[in-house]
Formats: sequence, C-alpha cells, structure tokens
Amino acid sequence: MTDLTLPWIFVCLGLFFGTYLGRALPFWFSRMESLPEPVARFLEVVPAAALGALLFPDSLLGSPPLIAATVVALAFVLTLRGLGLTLVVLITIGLAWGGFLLLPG
Amino acid sequence: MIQRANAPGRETASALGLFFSGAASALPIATGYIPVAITFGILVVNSGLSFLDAVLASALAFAGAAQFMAAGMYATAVSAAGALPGGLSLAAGLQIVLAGWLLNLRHLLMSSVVAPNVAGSPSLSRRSLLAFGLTDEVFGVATWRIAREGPLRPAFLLGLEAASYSAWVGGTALGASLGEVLPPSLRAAMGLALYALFAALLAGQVRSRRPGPVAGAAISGAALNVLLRGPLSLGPGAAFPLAMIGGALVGWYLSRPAGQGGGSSRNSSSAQSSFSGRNSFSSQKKEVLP
Repeated sequence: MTDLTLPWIFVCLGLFFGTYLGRALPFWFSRMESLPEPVARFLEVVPAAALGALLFPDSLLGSPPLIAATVVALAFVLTLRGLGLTLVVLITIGLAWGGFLLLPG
Repeated sequence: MIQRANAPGRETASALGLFFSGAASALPIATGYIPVAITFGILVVNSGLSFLDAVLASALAFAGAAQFMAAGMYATAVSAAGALPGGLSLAAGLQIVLAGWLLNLRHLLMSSVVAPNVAGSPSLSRRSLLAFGLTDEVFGVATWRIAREGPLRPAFLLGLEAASYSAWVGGTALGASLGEVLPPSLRAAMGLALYALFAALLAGQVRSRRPGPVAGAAISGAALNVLLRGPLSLGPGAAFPLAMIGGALVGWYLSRPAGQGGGSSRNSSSAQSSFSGRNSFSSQKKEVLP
C-alpha cells in the first residue's frame, strides 16, 4: 500500500494546476488585483453552494441517517455558536464513534 | 528569532527572523489543520488508495475542501464502476478535476487582495512561490496582519505559509499511516466527521458573510444536487459542478446590490460594502479549509 495509483496522480496534478493558477494569477498580473464586482460577488458564494451540494444527499447515504443527520446538525450549530473547528471535529468524531459502537451491525 | 522579529526594530529584522515570526503566527492554523489533515489521510487510505497517494494529494494541491471532494468522488466513481482503485475512467477523472477547480476559484479573489499588499516588489519566482501557499486560513491571518501593520514582508508570508503547509502535509501522513491500524468503527466515524466538517465550514461562511446570500447558495446547491442525483439520476461527478454553479448563481442573485434589478433606485454603495469587495474577507476566521 505504499505505491502510487496512476489515475489518482493525474487527479492530484489536475487539482494542483487549477488551484495554483487561481492563487498565482493575481501575483503575476497586477491587472487582476481588482476583480469586477459581479465576479467577486459570484466567487464569494461559490464555497457555500459547494458545501451545500457536498452535504446533500451524500451525508445521509453512507451511514445510518439518524447518526449522520445528528452529526451534521450538531457541527453546524456548534460552529455557528463560535466553537473552533478542531473541537467541533473531535466532538463529532467521538459522538459518531459512540453511535456506531451502540448500533448493532 | 521570534522575539527579535517581534521587537520594535522589526523593520531591520533579518529575513530569517521574519520567516520564523511568520511561522509562529501559523500556530492557530496548524492546530486547525492537523486533525482535519489526519481525517483526510484516513479517508484516502480507507478508499483503497495508498499512503503515498494521500501525501501526494496534500503536497500538490494544498487545498482542503477540494481534496476531500476529490477523494470522495474518486471512491464513488471507482466503486460504481466496480473497479480496483486504479481503474478510474478518463471522464470521471476530468469531472473530479473540474469540480475541484470550480471550488478553488475563490482563491483568485483572495490572491487579488494579498498580492498588492506584499512589500518590496519581490521577483517573479518569489511571487510564484508565495502564491502556492495562499490557503483560506493563510489568507485570514495575512489580511489580519495587513489590516494592523500594513503590507507584509515576503519572508514573513513565506514563514506563515511554510508552517501551515508542514502541518497540512504532516497531518495527512500521520492520518494515512494511522488509517490501516484504527478499528473499523472509528474509521466509519471519521468518515462521517467529513460531513461534520463541511457543516462546520458552512456555518463559518454564514458567520463571516451576509447570511442571506450564503444560505440561499447553500440551500439551492443542496436542493439541486439532490434533484440531479435522485429524480434525474445523474452521477455525482456530473451533478456536483452543476449544483455548485446553480447554487452560486442563486447566492449571486441574492447578494446583488439594492437598486439593481429591483424597483428601488436607492444608492447601492452601503449594500455593496457589506458583502462584496475586499472588506468582507477581512472578517474571515480559521473556520475554512485551505
């Protein structure tokens, strides 16, 4: 399990090029230092749209939906209340682990 | 070194001193990255890929949410095709990369804020190096420093980025080596913690930006994805970019300045500054991934 998987290498290289280009263009071309207002507004809501689509439906498909829904809702509320990312991740891992140990099968 | 760089005579501090001062400023980032990176390493190894595969992803992309997304889409695509981990189709691979690019387009916005605030006009090769490490969290700390102390010294920014990068890659390696040892119940729990992470990141978006457009984008992105995957039975790779663009368009429409499109003709400058433009990013906290 220590060798590299070829298609995965290409996925990683693809991610690298796309991500790096986005980070580097404004460092290369000073004209890109101020993006047009509509473009900036679109880019600002892309992460939220992506996170919504990442969460549903997949979070409810792979595990018992009750545990999954509890974990997702709890993480959202705890962070909204100002708890740090590290604590939220640790708490939810612990909670889900307990859930999986209690549930038979 | 750190004390020296923080001393009043900071202007004359050596490049090395500035580098370590930057690395020390990465401490809150590192505490956030390491558990998340461990989870990523475990997730990659759980989906049948190797230790080196996991480390390679973190070392090349240095892009948390996109890496999680890529690993998830990769595992789904391979298991749907009933193939070994090496048996990914070209179309599925392109879908993963395209979705990752879309997700990371936001870095364009962050770089356009930091790039003009690097002091001393560094060379092209240095600027190219500094651009690589500009994640959401590095951006958050960098803009906080810029707001307090003006333009950043390149060595400081490099130290900040290098320490964050080490935490991310090191955490991934740790998780990938733990992945094969941990009990199945804990590994299943950590797989679910991925969604907890996404939910937490979304809450961070709601907190740091205008909630209306953010919620609109997230809810429509989720609803579109459910619709495309369920009733329209699209594969995850095809559905995700469409749902993400559709959701972002809804958020974009909701965030438009007052006076545009609607009947109101009132001056829109106050509405603009509350959401778009540079100021809205300065409140960003470390609740977002690289």
